[in-house]
Amino acid sequence: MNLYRPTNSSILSFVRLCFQRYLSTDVAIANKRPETSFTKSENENYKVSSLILNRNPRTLEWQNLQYRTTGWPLQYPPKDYIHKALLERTGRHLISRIEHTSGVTCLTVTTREYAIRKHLGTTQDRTSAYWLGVILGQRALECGITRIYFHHSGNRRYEKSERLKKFYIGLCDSGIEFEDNKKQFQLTKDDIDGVNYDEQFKDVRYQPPQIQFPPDLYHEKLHYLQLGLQNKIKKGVES
Amino acid sequence: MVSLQHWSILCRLVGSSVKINQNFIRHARVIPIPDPMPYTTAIWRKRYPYRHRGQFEVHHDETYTKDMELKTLAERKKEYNPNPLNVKSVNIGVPHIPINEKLRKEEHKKRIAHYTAQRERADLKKQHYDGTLQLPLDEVRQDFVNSSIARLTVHTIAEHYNIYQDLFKHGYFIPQIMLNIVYPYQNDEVTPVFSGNRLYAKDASKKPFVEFTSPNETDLFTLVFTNLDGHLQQDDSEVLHWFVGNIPGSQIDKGETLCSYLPPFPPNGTGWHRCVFVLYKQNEKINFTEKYQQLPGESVSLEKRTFRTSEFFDKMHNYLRPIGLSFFQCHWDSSVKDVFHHVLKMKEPHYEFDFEARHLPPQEFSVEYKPFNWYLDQYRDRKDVNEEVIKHYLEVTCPFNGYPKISKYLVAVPNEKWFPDWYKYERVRYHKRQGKWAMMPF
Repeated sequence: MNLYRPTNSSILSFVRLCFQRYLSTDVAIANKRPETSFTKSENENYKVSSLILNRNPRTLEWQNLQYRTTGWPLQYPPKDYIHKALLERTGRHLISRIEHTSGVTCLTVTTREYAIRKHLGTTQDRTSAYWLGVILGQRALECGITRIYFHHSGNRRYEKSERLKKFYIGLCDSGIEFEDNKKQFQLTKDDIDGVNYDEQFKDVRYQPPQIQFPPDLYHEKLHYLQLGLQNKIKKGVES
Repeated sequence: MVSLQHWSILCRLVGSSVKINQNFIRHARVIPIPDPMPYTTAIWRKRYPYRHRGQFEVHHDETYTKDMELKTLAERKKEYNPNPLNVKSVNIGVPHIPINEKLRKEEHKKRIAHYTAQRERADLKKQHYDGTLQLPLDEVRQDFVNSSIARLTVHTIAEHYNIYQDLFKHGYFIPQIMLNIVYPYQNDEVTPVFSGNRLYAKDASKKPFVEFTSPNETDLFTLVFTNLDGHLQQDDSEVLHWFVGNIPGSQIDKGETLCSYLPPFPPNGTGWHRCVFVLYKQNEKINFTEKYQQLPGESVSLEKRTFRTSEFFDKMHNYLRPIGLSFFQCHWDSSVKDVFHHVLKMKEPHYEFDFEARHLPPQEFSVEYKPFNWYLDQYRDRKDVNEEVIKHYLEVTCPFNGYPKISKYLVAVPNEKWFPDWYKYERVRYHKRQGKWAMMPF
């Protein structure tokens, strides 16, 4: 859930106002309440909610707040990415696409399109792969995908294939960024230490149903057995 | 291993002068042990054929069958949501007009002939081999925009950004008219709007120029510009920025602006907001005040500007159908402050991301190998931590104390007297404005 709440800057903003007033030389002006146009507006009584929901499913990814699929560091191909570019080959054409971690293809650019094929002599060449990369990068920027993951590091197939290399050169030439996983730090908590005890267990928006998960009983039983209180089981722990 | 019988025989032979301590004969006594895995071991022991011979006999008759009584996933889902809505989304767009078959086949033949000609060109092959082939990208883009593939790409991207679900809950459409929307920037430069662009909010402060080609000149269209994520009170409604109805042909100026243009105002800290242009095709001239509701004309009040496309379409689906889609993304900018102050005339809200509650183990009285001040700070109330910072800030900026003397490289300056290590590290964090000190405005 993409929830946002107001900062505790109300105190700081009050402080800033005080400071400015005290700086002014004319004490009379400082004591007089400044006339603003806030009193004569249609939104003067509009109360802004303390929690705002941003329904855009892609905001968190671009702000480094979304949980990434970490945990498979020894597996290949790597899974710790958001968007990656793929180049595939069918019988007579090349298909380049941008894929999301969830498996959804966001964009496809193929040599089957008349717009591209018009100018090409062969469709499975490395130069056609280069131009596919250029066009894919352009269209990705138009669609809001500004960072791509390079998932061929250490791959011998990439080192052998000239076509793949030209594809990535084309992506570079189109102006799209390549993300570096080591620099993308996932923010799981804010900088300030401490616990907000008022709102810790109270989610104003989402209340899941109070259903006991079955292993509760099992864990209880185990505890009593370990302590040697076997008689308790027969009496009435299990309901 | 000597069995009991042999041992007793031996004793008799010996003359029963040896006293046998029964406690040391392990197999004669049953040793009760707690059962750590009641399910598997109990069931196994019940069925194990040689259990009566072993040392470890089962005391209790009961078996763990509670897992058979557990609810299935379907039952648990039903408990959670007894009336789920299983609705497949429906295509609510304009019915597809088939192209003239003859024309299409002719065009196809021409293209195939062109491809065969290209394949036989030797100079093209040389260019491919050398890597000197140059594609005219403007022409490629123009052809792409006129093709059906552009519509499908907009559709897939809109699904990726979850736009159809947020606009129309159970409907989708494949856009058939491509919108060419452009915001004026400076001199002759423009910022275009494609499908999912990232723009500065500053670029969208003025009204854009909208162009599209309508198949018939007599058709009427409506253009609706909304912000799906920017509503400051409700979660499921949008903010209406621009509404133009009864547009004849492709001239937006001649349509009625039932809602004047309001630049988007994503508040600080709320991330990227999707701002969507939807073009509807009308059957006839519509009086929106009659059929839908009184739309805000020039007013800037956010209550009047709440809008729900699903409700709008529920009422007007007999007169309108969506036919075009274009959207961009924007986030907070210094120009949004001006919009709040001068246009909306309200105070600007500032947000920050609401992280999940920190998982902290229960606090212990004494903890080893952890700095005590850090450990205690983890369990303090957030408000006390903030209060400390604010009080320090007020002390520093108190006007009666004069201007504070702040030297430039505070971390490099040695301390004036001896301090314990934990205090020194805290001072460094203060000088670097890390942790709670990041709240200080300077």
